[in-house]
Amino acid sequence: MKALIIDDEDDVRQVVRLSLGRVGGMEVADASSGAAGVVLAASSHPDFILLDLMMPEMDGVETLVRLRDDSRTASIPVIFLTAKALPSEIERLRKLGALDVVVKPFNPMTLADELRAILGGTE
Amino acid sequence: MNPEFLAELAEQFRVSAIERLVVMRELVARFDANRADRETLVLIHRHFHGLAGLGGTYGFPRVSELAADVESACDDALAAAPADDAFIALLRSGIEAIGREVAKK
Repeated sequence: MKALIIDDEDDVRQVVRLSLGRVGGMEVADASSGAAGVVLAASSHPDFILLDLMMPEMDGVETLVRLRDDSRTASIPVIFLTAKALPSEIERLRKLGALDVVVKPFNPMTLADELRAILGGTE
Repeated sequence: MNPEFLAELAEQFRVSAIERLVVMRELVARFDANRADRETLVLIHRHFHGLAGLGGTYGFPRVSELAADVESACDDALAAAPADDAFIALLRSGIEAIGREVAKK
């Protein structure tokens, strides 16, 4: 399974790479901005994208819109990663096309299982 | 659970957090010198937001709690300028409290 993590925080990308790669056995690519993530998603065709909500310049919502507007990335499941997860915000993100929301802080030992469970619901 | 993996994560976070706190102290000093400097306050907010999301993930849940509290105060300050002395003191005390938590393990 190929994952793409888009997050401006180096430490988040690092722990997700280790969590999904070493613990979860996934292939993991990462991008440090929404703009770079959109380009990488179109070229690498990940099975899913883990997308930070709060990023400078292009935030997670704008990144999601751009992913959905590109036929090469429109169908890739997007799961948001956010520290601010009010129920109303989660509902708004789902309406925008996100598959689900994972809340930070997360458990690096169980993140891969959590994501597989979320993705399993779409199959 | 893999204790070695978790210990490796904790050490990575400790090193990164110590470097980040140095930057945050400099940003707070810059903001204190010019409390109308919204751009610097946005950067300070971003660091507390980052620590709020990261601490618990790396095994430092108290760091997440402390950072989330100050992040919330930054939200308020961004909505209502100018920042007062109490807010500056909160920024500084938050940074030092996070530093103590990071140094504990």
